[in-house]
Amino acid sequence: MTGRGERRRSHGIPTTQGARGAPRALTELGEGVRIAFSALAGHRLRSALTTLGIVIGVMTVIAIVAIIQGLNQSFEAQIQNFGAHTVYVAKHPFVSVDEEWWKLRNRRNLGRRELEAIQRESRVAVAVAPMTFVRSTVGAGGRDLESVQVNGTNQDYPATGGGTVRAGRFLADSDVELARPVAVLGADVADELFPGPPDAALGKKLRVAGRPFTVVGVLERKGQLLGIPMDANVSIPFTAFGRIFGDKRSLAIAVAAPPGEVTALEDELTSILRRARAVSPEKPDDFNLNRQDQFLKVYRQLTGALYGVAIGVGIITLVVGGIGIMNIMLVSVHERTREIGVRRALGARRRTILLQFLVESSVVAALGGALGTALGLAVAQAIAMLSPLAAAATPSAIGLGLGFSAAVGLLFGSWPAWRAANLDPVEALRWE
Amino acid sequence: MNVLGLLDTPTAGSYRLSGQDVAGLDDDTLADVRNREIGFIFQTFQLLPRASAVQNVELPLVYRGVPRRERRARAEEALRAVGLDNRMKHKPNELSGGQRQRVAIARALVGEPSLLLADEPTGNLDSATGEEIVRLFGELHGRGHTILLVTHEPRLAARCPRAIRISDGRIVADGPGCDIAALGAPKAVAG
Repeated sequence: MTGRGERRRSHGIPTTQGARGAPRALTELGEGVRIAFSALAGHRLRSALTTLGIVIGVMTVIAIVAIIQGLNQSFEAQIQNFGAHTVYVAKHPFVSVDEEWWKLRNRRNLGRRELEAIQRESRVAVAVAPMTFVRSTVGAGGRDLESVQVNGTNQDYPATGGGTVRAGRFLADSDVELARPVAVLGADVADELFPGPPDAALGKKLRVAGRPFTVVGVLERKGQLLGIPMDANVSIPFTAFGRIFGDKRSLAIAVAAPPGEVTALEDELTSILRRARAVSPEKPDDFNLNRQDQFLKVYRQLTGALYGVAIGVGIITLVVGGIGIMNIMLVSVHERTREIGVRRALGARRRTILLQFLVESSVVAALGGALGTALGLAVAQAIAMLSPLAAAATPSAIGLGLGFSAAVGLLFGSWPAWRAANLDPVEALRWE
Repeated sequence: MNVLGLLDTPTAGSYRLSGQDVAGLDDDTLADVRNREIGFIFQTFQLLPRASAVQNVELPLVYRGVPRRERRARAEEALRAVGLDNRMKHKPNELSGGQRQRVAIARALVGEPSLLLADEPTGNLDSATGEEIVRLFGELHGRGHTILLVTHEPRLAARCPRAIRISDGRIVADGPGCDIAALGAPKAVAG
């Protein structure tokens, strides 16, 4: 049996472990993991039911977070459609959260006077484009498209973030000056009316509200903003727009600043507009300077609330799941009282037993977390496919799911593990 | 028995193991001493039901931090020493009572302790199997192992070189096994 030479070497009682501490901790951890998996395999149904709470909790949170992050990504990409350095002068704010609408409704329209004042006086602005639109019928040949957005603007529109030209050209100064009947098509309109390569549309005849126009350019595809397609439009000179649709409607004016000078532009625009609109000094502004970050702000408020709900739901289900784990771990400790006694007799320290049960509860919880993460991502993907919402699986969300569930396992497993570690070995060995 | 196995502490008197008083050792140290110095053999075998024979035997080495490969080799060697060469991967419920007790003995031996403590080792076995186990103890004793066994069977006690008879917690006799056993002794020691 012997022949290994260690047998009679260890006389006397060792009082410290010293050098063997580290490998011992490792082998104990390895044993803990092995025991955990064999205990799980021994009670498959029980383990599955135990971890169900964690699975559902993590699945919910992961699905919600994936959807929110997907929305964030697509929204931030879409928001680039608006110029990052562009100020949109308008009668009303883009998004009104706290101002009452009735205070705004009697404001005077913005018109050519304000546009020309900005074009004439602003020294910061690099591009100034009027923006006005109606929905109207646009057709070519035998086809008519209903409810296409017809934009009235000028040559500066692309420079304010209005889009980029894919084929042909955008409107020119002279088109605007002479109110020429020329049009630049959004990608969807071009595809619908003039299928084929993008330059297939160039030079073709187009009907805008029944008037003949000539296509001079096609824009790059922009995609969607908050689910609204951005490519179903036609841009014509705002002078021509006025002749067809009247020029009494209020303009919005997009003004682009060089990077870093947006604030300076806003100050300048405020004084130009107040002068142009003869606002007396004691009165507040009767116009708004809008920027894309206002969208972002409202958007973040919205998703922030959603995040809050997700976290609330997640915490509740994780606590419920955690209690399930604690319950089953108490049962497991009870059932394995004798095993604990044997392990203690064979030299397991208290903390070894503690570790063993902690590993077991965290493994159960982490497996539940992994399953929940996978299901959550699947649910998010399914939602993304069946609805206009987007989904994104970010590593942070996955890490969050796994980390949280393992932490729940540790937290709720610690009391049963502590009870196991503090069993009296003599009692435990006698237990039937 | 529990005191000798360092599972319990004496309420009176002192216990010196390998010349050192164990009173005042902390729980961790007691666990380490149990691991290195004592091999337990129980009446009810006390094998872990879900672990194979070789995994059961490996346990004391796990708590000593012996690397996996060496652990496995030593456990297999211990199982061979008790005659279970071809039962290594069997679970306890696939083994007979005598085989289970052999696994338990291998587990007690694998850590090469200075003392084997056997509490009624044949109590749950039929007499033929019990006899095999007793013979195995005899062999181990012959190879230089110190074995302390507790028994109510005078015939078993009679075969031990030294026997101590304990009645109601007091030593009433101490001498060669054959003499003490003649009194119908409940407790025996093989030295």
